[in-house]
Amino acid sequence: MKVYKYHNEHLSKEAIAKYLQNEFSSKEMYIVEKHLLSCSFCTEAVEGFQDFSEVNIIQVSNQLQQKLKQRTTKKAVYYRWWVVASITLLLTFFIFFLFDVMNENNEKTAFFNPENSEKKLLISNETITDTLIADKSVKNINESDIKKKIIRDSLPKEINLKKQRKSQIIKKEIVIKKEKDNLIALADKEILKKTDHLVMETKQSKRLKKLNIATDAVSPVLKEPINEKVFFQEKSRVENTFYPTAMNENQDNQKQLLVARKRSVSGTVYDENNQAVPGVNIIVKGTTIGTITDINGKYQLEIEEHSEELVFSFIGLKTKVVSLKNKDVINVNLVFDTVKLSEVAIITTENERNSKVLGYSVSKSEQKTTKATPIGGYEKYKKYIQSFMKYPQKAIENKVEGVVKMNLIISKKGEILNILILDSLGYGCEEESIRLIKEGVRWNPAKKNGKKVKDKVEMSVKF
Amino acid sequence: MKETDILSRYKDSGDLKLLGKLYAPYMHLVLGVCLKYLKNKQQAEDVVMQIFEKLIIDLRKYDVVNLKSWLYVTARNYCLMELRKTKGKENSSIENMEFSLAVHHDNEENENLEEQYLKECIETLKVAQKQCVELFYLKEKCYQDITKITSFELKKVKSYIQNGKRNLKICIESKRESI
Repeated sequence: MKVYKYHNEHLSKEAIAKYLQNEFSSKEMYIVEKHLLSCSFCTEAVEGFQDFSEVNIIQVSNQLQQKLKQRTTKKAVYYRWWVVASITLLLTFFIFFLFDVMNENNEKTAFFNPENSEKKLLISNETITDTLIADKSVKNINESDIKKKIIRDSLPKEINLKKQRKSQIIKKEIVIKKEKDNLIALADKEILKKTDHLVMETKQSKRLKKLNIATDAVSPVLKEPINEKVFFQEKSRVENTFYPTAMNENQDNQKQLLVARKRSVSGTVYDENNQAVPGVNIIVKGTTIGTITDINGKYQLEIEEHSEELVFSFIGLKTKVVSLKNKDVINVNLVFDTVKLSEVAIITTENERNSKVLGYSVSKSEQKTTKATPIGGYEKYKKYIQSFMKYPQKAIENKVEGVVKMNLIISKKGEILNILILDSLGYGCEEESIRLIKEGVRWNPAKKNGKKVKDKVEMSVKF
Repeated sequence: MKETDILSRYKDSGDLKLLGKLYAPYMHLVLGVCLKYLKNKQQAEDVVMQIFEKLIIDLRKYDVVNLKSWLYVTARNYCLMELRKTKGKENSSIENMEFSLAVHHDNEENENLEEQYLKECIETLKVAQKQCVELFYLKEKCYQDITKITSFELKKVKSYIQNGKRNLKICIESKRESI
């Protein structure tokens, strides 16, 4: 039985499968195991499969090999398709090019042939008259359409208006309903008038004309404003382009409308404690229209009818958005907006350069200072005092023992400027202490941020 | 055709079919390694194909002498990278790969010497290791047989043999150097 597919290289998938399923004799198993000991690749692979006993090694490996085959042959297939595609593309381009050249030739010949061009003109004239006639008939047909359309238009408008601005429109609705019959009759007349105009017109603006008739018909009947912005814009545009003479009349109309579309809102702004807040910003959402509250927290604002929301904002208070629907007086309570600013401490432990770089006021948490010390250190100094001290005779006689406490002032140069006695013993002890200190070593001056400074050192001498 | 020949031809031509021929015999091993590290069959299968994509570039870029061990390290590193991607920083220290270098026997004299070393070194092993190593290498028993003979657990047997082998190697090498 051949265990290795490639001898002494690695285990075949069959070998691994058989080994894991205990299908080998112990001799074969030994061979596999011996190989595994010297081949970490196979070892890890076997370990991997051991954890996945449900995986059919041979089957999965074959699937993968199939995939590999697809992958390695894919490119070639693509390449072939690519060639075919590019050839067809080239061919089509070539054909188009040929056609193009041929067409160009034809046109050139037509251009240089006067008879042909005359014919063309004749034909085009005919077509124009044809279209004109067709246009008329279309218009005739359109008239009836238009009538229907006006009725249809007015109805949805009612509904729309109802939806958007109930309170304002309810009254108007009644008027509209009453005059609906009137409207249709009037509209008919209008249309008859307008059709004369229309025939004169070019065929540019069938849609606009329709609209025009509609608006002309509707506006005198309604007389009262309609808050359909788009509607009016469209109307004015149409009129500006086609009926300059009618402009004045319409402008008046529009002015009326604009004035009527404004309304005013007022109210007072309070904070949580029902205190009036002056200086609160009030703005119509999505616009630049706004105001601020006066000293009593009161405000009044002219707004457009269709404005929907007011935004109240003030530093330290939460911004509030209030709907404008059907309200003329809006009183608002703003809640305190408490955001705690966390304290920021900048600490430099390094040198002066840092504080300059930072450019903030820096409170130094720790200044680098060293106290003044006797040259050679305190240990040596202590020994010096102990060995050179002469116990004052008087003190021995009076059995004085204790500590003389002093403050030494050490200059920048390390000299002892002054000695202050804090606790004294008397009987010559102080004098002896002063002598010891004065005759003792010089001092290393104290340093502050690298600079030599004057210092005060507390010192005690024990007797 | 030899593996190295195919490899050099692929390097020259970039023909994927050649690379396929090279990779196919190792796929199941790569899959096994991926399973070991990723512990996910689907992911492992995907990675096997991803490694192939990596080979397309790398095998043209580098001079690979021993494809098998190179592939092993590549596959393992790829899996470890995948793990690192998903599980953040995991223990991803990649051990140095162990090249199993064949021991050369220069001449008869040396061989005798080596055998002597081996005998001496086996004596220095711990009892359990010694027993397993002897059964395995000298009596050529498989793991299962050894478990039956020694009544150790299979895992123990494995580790005894592996450690014993390592200890022997160290022992023999030190003896060789000491001369």
